[in-house]
Amino acid sequence: MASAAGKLRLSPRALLDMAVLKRRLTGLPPGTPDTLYVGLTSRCDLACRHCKYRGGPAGPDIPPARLRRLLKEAAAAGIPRVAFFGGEPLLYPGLDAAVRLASRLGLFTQLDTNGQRLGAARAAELAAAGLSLAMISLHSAERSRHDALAGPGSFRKAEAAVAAALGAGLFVHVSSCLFSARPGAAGVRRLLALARRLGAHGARTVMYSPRSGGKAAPSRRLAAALAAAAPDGFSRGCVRPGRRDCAAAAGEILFVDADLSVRSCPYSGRALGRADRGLRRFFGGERTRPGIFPCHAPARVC
Amino acid sequence: MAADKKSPVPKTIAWRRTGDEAVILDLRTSEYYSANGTGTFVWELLAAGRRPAKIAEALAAEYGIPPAQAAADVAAFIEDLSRLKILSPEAAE
Repeated sequence: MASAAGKLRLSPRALLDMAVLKRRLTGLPPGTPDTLYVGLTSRCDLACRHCKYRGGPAGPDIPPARLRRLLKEAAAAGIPRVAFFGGEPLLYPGLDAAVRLASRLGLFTQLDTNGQRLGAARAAELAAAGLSLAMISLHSAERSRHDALAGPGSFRKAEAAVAAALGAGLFVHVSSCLFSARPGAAGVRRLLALARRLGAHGARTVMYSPRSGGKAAPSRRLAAALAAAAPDGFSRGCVRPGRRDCAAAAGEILFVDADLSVRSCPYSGRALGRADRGLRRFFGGERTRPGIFPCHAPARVC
Repeated sequence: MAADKKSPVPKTIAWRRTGDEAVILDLRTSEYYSANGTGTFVWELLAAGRRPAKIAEALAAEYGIPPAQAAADVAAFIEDLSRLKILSPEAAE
């Protein structure tokens, strides 16, 4: 359920985008992903402890011409939503043009950002270009815990980004890598309470991370805690109670990285192939392919 | 096709064609509706300000149905839209 604060600020265009998305999701052909995640760049202005890009060499950004082709392919294939991902997608010079094209193609357009560069003016620019939803990283309700994972001062900037995106009339979700923050059930409740207090319309939770250094994530326990803390559906995660597959393994999402490698999700440990020869051959999820596909989730999840 | 009158769609209604159907959103309530193929055909003409009689003519021509049936279908569709407060009352005029 959307908070009253957020709902009042939504732009009519974002609301209509969401209505169209919901309608399209109800008629999505079997095997078609509901979201194409596109890694625009591996560059980032933070060095989060759990991130797969931390400490690695920054590869080239996705070429603009290839990105345009990818968006057109996604729209033609019936994928209803694109999520611009990173690295940090706000560092990608062609972001506004990509948002404009995606919106013009009828794609629901989402930005997954750490929020460090999302001030009011930037949020307004992206909203004008056709952005509908900002997914902003907040890994813990405790500032010190979030800052320990993502860097000093990042919590305050992410909070400000939520306000900026709301002010621009966007849907705003908080995105949390719960495994990194190791919140426990009480921490989950505090995190969702914070998201509601900030005016967010929802929260997305990722249960695992390869870089956090811990043992197998207690994903199912966290999923149950989330369901209990948000029975109204405010929170959604890639691991859901009562479901064996994660969203990626079920083929609900697809990820194309800046180097054009295709994975079932941004955190998957194995490339399925390359996007050069089209996207449709990757529809259907990993279950349609024989073999072993180690994503970074703990074994009992995938 | 030229408009016959001002669009009867209130400012509180937003809509967009997606594929073969129109998604129509009531901004006051956040409730949304989808129109099927023929509904979308009629809706787009209504939103463009065409009068119901002209829309019925176009519907009959497009789908090859008797004019009387087309007129009744258009009237029923407008009644549904009015009941849902998607159209202002003068739409039926």
